[in-house]
Amino acid sequence: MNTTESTNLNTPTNQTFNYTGTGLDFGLLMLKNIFFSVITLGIYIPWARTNNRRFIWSNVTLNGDRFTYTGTGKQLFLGAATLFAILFVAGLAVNIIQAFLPKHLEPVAGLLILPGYLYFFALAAYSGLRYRAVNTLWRQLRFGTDRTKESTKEFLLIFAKGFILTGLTLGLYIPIFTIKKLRFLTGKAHYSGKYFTFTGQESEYFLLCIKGFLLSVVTLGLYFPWFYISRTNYRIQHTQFGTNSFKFNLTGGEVFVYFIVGNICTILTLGLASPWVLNYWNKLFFNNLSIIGPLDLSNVVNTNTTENESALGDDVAVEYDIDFGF
Amino acid sequence: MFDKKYQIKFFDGETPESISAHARIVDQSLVIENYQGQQLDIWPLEHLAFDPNHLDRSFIMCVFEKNARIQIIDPDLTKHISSLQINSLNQFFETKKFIEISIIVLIGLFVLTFFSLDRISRTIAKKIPTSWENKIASNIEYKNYFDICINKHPVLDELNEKFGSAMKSLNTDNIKILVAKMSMANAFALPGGTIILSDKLLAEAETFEEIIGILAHEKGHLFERHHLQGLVRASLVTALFSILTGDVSAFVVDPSLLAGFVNLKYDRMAETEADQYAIAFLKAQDISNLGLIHFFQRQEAVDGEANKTPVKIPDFISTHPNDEKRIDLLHKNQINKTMTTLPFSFKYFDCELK
Repeated sequence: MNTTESTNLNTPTNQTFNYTGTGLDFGLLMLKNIFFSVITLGIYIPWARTNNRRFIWSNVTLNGDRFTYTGTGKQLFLGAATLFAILFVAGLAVNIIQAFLPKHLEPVAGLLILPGYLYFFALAAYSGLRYRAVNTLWRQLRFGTDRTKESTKEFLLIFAKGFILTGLTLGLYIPIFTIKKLRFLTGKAHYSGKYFTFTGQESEYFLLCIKGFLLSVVTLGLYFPWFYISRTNYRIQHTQFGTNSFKFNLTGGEVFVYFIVGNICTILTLGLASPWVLNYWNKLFFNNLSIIGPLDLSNVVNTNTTENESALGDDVAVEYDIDFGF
Repeated sequence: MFDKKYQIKFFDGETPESISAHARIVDQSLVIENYQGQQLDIWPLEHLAFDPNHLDRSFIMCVFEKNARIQIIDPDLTKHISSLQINSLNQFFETKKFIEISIIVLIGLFVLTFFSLDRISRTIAKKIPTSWENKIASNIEYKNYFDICINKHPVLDELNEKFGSAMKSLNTDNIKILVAKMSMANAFALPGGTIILSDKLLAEAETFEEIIGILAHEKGHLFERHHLQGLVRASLVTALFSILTGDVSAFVVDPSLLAGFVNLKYDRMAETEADQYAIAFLKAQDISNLGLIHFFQRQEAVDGEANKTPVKIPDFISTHPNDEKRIDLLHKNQINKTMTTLPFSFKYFDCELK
């Protein structure tokens, strides 16, 4: 019998992801999180969030091997505390400036904080992704996202340009902005030294989004699950890991049925069914995701990436619901 | 038992290899071997710990080897090592016990909160000073919610004239009685000591005693401060569920929906209490409660018509006790006195609106 199942260089079939979590386990975890969040008046929330992530990561397998999340509640708590302090100081600064400005110029003070917010959101997208990547392991090797001063400047420029053009084009620039962000962030992401790449094109994604948006409007939102799937599919299919590309089989019809049934179950049970509903979504998503062909893990070695990453970016991303695009 | 080989997966933490292997417990060590019997690693038992990143405790690490892990495939290995009383591993089993106790305590707290909610909100409501209540009420413009008649209904003057002592006992100096134009016979007790009677209720009423009975019932609500109890209860339930659902965004529950559902039960209790207050009041004033019985009988007929619809509202989700039960309660405490019929002209009161 072969002792090593790792590289599977000779296996011609696709490498499948799987989700093994059960609704009952997820529900019990939620109950525990709720209990501690209540008795600590919400202080436990970062630890609860970490528990949820540990559960989900740990139940996702690739080739039968589980992922691991190594982030801690303490990191998220410190990130949230820093975020709170920054927002408090920023709010205070705006109020002080407003106090010294004539009444008709008061809104200008609010505008002064705009670059700060821009920096914040860019940080959330970049550092937040880095935090999650660095804290994700598969087969005990870490994922990562490179970040240097230069790359941060480059990303800030993409972000600022995207933000301004999105405003000027009334949102039409969003698909192009998304692809630019994805290309940048995916290009910086790696699994222990082996890099991901993104091959999507702005023009293709723009047309896909316009078509999906128009059809969603015409069908009064009924097309939205298919629109979601076409966007997700595009992102996944144009992501590569070395020579491997990804495949996603979930259909709009399945998402539509999930949305209807999931919502009905959640409402009828006053929310008690939500662990099962969420769990089913994870199952739907991961069981339909695979890597095409034999997995090439050459050049993958322990890079000794540190896991002591600040969670501020992740906290901002969670608070403002920022999509990493992954 | 000590020679038993347990199936595991071994990750060395240096390469992306997933090695199907065996683990054996030999003396005070965990020996990891591949299927050919070649030793891959050896970990002293006293340095073993569960990987905290896997909540199901299916991964074991050696505290001196930061990156390597074994994944337990054979559950007997967990049983075996838990029987060895290794300190670092036992911590987990204590944590598990703690979590189980916590869950039981949480459920207990829920049950306790549910059953003590009424008492807590009643206590808080009764402690709210009247001046605060009046302050809150002064900000409420009832005319925004009701079509208040600006002309006075003649029944109110007649009541003061014919039942002066009873009306005084109802403390009408501090209670404002208003008449509103409505399509249904109804009455409301509102914060700040306001009672609203619908013009339809007055038009359908047959005797003065019936109106006094209804006023006494509404005064019962004000006396017991049910309006504030509801407010306090709704705030408590909403706050509780907001805290509970604050973290778990998946719990898509509208807290006000839950608060409302819990409140239904208390509304029924409040109605019964107000009925009891009215009975005691009428008894003390030596006024017949047959008027109130007639009112509920008419209501029963109206509800009976409504219940002929395909969907019948079950008793347990009704905000009011059913009319039959209320009539029974009044009959049990029946006060038979002569009653004074209302002048026929009162039925044609023309409510003037602003």
